[in-house]
Amino acid sequence: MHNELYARLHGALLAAAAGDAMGTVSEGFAPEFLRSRYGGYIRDLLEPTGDGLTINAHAGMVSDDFSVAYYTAQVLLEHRSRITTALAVEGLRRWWQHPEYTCYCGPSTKRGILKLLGEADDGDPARLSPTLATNGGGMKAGMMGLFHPGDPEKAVEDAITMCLPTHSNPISLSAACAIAAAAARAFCPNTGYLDLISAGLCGISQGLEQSAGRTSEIAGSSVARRLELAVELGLRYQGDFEQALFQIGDTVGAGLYAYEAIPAAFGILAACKGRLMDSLVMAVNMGSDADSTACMLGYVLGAWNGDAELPPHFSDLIDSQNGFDLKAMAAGICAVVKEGIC
Amino acid sequence: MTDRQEKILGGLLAAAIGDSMGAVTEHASRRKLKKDYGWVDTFIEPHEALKAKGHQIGLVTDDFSVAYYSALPLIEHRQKVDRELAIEGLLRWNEQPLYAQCAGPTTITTINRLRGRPSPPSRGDLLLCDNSRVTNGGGMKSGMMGLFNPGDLDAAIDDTITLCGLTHDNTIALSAACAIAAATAKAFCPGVSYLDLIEAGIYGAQEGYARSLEHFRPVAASSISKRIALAAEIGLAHQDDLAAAMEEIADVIGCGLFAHESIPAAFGYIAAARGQVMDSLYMAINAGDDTDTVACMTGFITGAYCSSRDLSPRYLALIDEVNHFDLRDMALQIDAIAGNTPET
Repeated sequence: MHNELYARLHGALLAAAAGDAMGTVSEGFAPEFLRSRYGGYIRDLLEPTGDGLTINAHAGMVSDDFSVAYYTAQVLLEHRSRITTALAVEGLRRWWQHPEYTCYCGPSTKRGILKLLGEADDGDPARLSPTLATNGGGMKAGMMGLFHPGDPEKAVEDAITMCLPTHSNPISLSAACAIAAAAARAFCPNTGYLDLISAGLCGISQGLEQSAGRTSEIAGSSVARRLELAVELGLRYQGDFEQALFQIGDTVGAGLYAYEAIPAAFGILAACKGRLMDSLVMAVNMGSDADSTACMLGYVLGAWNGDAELPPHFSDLIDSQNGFDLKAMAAGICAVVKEGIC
Repeated sequence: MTDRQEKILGGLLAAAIGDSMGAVTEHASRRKLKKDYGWVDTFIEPHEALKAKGHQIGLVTDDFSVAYYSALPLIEHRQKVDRELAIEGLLRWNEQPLYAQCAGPTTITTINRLRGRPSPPSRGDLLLCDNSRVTNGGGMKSGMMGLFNPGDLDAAIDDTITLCGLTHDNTIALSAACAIAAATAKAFCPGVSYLDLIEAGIYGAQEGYARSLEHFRPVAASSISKRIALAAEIGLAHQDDLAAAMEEIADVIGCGLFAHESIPAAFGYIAAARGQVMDSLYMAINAGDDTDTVACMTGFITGAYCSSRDLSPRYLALIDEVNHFDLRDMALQIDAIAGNTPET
């Protein structure tokens, strides 16, 4: 059991990091453009071209998505504790010391951190996304699924604690809970890929219940309804990779908003029947907020598939480029889980 | 007034009504609106924050006003839009402080560039770069190009790319703007049904995308034509219950600042309301989020489709008085410049 849990935890960490790093080169671009630039699908950790959002990045380097989750997990492992608001904030502060990752910071996270640090916001990101129903909760909340393997309800509770400082609205929080719940569910025995989708939907309703009263209502689409639509498209185009990619991208979208990238991730999962590399490749090549979408899928499907599904060179390249030790982190999470700390 | 003049006036007036009524509900969620107001189907007193900005009942916002000021140079020069006239309209509009204060991010950047002023650098802007520019501000003025080209969808599409390419220089924002222009132009065709408006919107979205691909940046965002079809499908399935149609469209399509939300949503309302002008506006106004823009765009199309005969003369008097417009005169002037309406 220990070996299996470790393999799933390492798979989830590595796949989330790999999805993020693969998607860093395609973030912000349209899928048609990516197809013509690369002459096919991106399937590897590529060197960034320098004309996207990447700054001083190299193949294998993650962006804000996985890194914010990584530094938060590091704090939890050091304190040997389940997440609290104080530890969530400590994780954010530690992450904020890494300009190589924070240069990608999205509007809600930036606003949240500046508020925590007592620094003035330039106001601009808020104007660009007045509702702030962004997806930055999902990119870190998957980690809470790993701290509660097999227990989606606790993963949801912790996802809310983790994301409230930066994403305090029902849309972003419920979307984050979808990822956390599905990642936790992936550790349960006899779980099919459709069970991951129902876990995601349960996570959304629990997330909405738990954010009521703690956050205020904002305008924006329904994450659940969009997720259902994305999954419907994914199921319809199973077996036709290209159609699935374009239909989900065109109809649901994979952008910065929580009601785009998170539903799209579940649509991709449905289209690829939960296969890890196929799902990451589809998310990466969908463009738009590709690195976030792929990162979120990585938590869920890395846990579901284990660490044997990724190309063998990924592990060393990601660890060395980022100064991570994902094997040690997987072992650390394994230990706190076994001790029943979380 | 001739039928065509009444239709042009209908488009202008419904767009202005939608913008002005929707100003009060903008940014709120549909649940909050339902709790606070029930169902908004008339002009309501603006809330304090809006009053502080100088809003009053009947006043239009950036949406209709930018369309209005874009039309003025065309009327004065008695010609169709070109780049210089588009710039003239935009700069004249920007001189009106009441409207300029609510300009969106894409419009502000362009005006700064035209006036030779630097835009403040912003990390947020860079990060959101391409996505942030897939906004709906083209759609709010492109309906006017439908009124200038009654019945001629292709000319409306070309004029929209000229007018809106200035501020919304990417394929998806332009595709969305062309959908509104084409549907507005279609509303003038003899024997047109509300389903034809939707078909014209899909045509405009596809053509607008293809034609703008030659000169403008491709960007990452979902497909306007596919999302118009999905919104219309939802609208058609809920024709017997407009509130249910509105909720479903808000949940699945969205009605926010982005072109791939609000433009498809407008077509969903047209489908649900069978093209009826006030019903389509009420749906847009009560759906929350970017209500004034969606209602303004919807108004160009359904106002032209139904003509000003379906709109209250009291509303015309109110809009003209509060904004110092003369929409009837503007309709006559547009009619005089516009070419013959094609027979089919």
